[in-house]
Amino acid sequence: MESKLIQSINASNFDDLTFESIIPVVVFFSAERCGVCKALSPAIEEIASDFSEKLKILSVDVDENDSLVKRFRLRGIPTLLIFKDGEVKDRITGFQPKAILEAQIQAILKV
Amino acid sequence: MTSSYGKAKKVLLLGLDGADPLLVQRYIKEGKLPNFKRVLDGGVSTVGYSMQAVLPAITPPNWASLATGAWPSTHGVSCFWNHTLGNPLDQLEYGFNSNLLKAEPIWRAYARQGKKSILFNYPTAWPPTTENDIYVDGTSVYTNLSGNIDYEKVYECIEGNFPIEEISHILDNSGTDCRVEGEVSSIQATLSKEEHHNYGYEDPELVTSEATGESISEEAKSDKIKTPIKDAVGWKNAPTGAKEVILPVNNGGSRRYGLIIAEDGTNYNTIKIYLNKQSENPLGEAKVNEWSDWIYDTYIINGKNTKVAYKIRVISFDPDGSNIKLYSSFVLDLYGGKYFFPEEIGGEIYDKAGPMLQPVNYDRLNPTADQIMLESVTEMYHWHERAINYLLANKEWDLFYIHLHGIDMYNHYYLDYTFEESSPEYERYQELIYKIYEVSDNFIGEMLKHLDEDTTIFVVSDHGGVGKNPGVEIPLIGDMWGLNTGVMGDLGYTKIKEVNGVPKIDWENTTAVAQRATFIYVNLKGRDPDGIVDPKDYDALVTKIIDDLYNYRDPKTGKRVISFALNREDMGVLGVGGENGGDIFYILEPEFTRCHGNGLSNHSLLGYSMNALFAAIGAGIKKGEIIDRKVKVVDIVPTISYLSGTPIPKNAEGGIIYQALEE
Repeated sequence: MESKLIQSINASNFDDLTFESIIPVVVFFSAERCGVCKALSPAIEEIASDFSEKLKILSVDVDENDSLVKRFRLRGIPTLLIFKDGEVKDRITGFQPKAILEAQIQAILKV
Repeated sequence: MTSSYGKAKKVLLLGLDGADPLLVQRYIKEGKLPNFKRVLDGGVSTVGYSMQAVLPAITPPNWASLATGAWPSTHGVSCFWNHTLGNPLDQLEYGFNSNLLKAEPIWRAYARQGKKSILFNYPTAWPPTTENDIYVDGTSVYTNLSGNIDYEKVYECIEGNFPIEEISHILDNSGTDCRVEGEVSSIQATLSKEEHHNYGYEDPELVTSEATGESISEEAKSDKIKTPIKDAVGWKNAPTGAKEVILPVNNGGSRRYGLIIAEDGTNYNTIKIYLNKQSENPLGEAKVNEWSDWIYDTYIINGKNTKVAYKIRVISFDPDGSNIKLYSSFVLDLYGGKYFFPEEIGGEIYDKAGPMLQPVNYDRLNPTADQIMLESVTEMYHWHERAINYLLANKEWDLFYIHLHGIDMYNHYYLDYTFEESSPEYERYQELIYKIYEVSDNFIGEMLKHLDEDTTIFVVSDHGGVGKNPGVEIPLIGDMWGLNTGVMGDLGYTKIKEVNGVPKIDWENTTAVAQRATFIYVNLKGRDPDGIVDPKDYDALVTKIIDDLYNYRDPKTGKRVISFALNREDMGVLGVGGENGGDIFYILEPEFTRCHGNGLSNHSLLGYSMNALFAAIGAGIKKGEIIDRKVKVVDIVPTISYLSGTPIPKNAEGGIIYQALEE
């Protein structure tokens, strides 16, 4: 899922843009075929816009990036990995309302 | 005449899972195992040092009998996995669980008299059932195995520019299709079975070949990571010419930084692990063919900073620094307290004895991996010595029960290859088997330091182990890891159908199944959820299956496979069965048996035996005698109760070994 606010990344640039990022990063693992991912997308877009100063949202198409699916032990999509200070601080799986997503991301940003 | 009653103020039971008295005899004759010999010279044993195990000769039922003095039909632990009648025939329960134990264990009898026990990695002790005792794990074969929070890893570090790849041990071996084909549509994503069973065992399923049974539980595996080596850039403390590598840790969620150094300026030989490139000091380091010291680190586990420890070991190291293979151990949660009772005893033991290294199992049957495994097992035994010495010296105790699983693991890993016909390296494998006995002997030596006039020490095993007869194929019946389809399929009782390409039992047409190591269950209407056999046909069917089992011949050799088969009533004579027992209990002929479990507990094969080991030394015990009586695992508990003057556990069925007592 790529948009103006959300850059699509792959295995080659993944580490530089996530683990090595100075600001927190949320990676949205999804696929074109995934209805729940589409349902989640508007909330992710809004969060990308609302938090544009504080964090970056990136996306990975799991059908194009099997090695990342394996590396991060994904068991389903949609999955969000929240990176901060060079590591995965939290993971969110399945459909969640925007308020819940925001709360979980806020909690990580505050730590 | 004096009495031995109440003479033992303290009793230690040293449980060496899989120790074979036949091998102990052989090694002692060769002048080896000095501490085993000290026990025999100063205490008692039987002819052949043997003890009769309960059937099946498998870990949980035998340790349960060594804890309760009762037969499996009474204590209810019937195999590595249990089955409860009324549940689907393919539903099994994990046999180490103390909730399965229907008989009173000796530590509860001690507690009734206000006496205290320490249960150290003892099968069927966890979860705890007494208030004032100390429990150190007991959930798995190795201490702390279930409490580890990141799996063992092998890093292939190769010079180049490519994305990091990592394959989890679960994906690598379970055949699980993790290609994210489904969506997570529920609000709460469910935790997968693989995650539940990450560090224990996966549930047993259908055994359709030798490769899908208990051998799965022994399979060598690790998280496998391929990561690029590059020139070191941006480091605070990197010497000229140093190289760097990124090492993913904590299930892929974090990374550590490796700095690769040539200490002599030419030949690369050291890898230092840093939290990040700006760190002043490394977390740890390892050199060619060496282990690191303990690396103390902090991982985020379930959102919390968690103090952990692990070790790394260099498997191979090219001097030009272009290719390094690195092993990283299971990661231990130091203060989580999981599987310790009271919880804080875990952190206390790690503080006093150091963290515990799990046995390495990334690979096997090659000299390097086998050597690294032996190093790790040796270190694990030393840790047990330190941890036990600490507890015995600093905690109140009257009874101490420990179970160590090194010998059994080595039996499963290596015995098959110790025959000239089986492997060109059979002598190396024979030496590895000896090594684990030597490590165990050193452990006994350390424990003998606790022997004084008030203390009795029992040295016992639950069963021995035999290597696979090179002349036969193992028939597909009696694998303890679930339902076996082979022989019972050939005989027409178990039917298979394919569901989405996966073989499943066709319950509508299956009249009986071979379940676990030694049982056959009729698929009985009114009892089993998918039952089809009318109760009025039950007796005739059982008789027919027993007839067919006796008539069954191994296709390759033409020999009979089944030694004997008994119906539900008759199996009680052997102390097996009980309320959840199978409808038929059978035992295989020795030459077709697996390592242990589906042969009789007195079988021997090609220089190995399935006998359990028995020796005792100390307060109230005769000195240097071989006693002329049969000792059974159910006799140990009544003997300890007598020696210690404590109540005999309520359900004990064995007898006091009077012939061993100083009276």
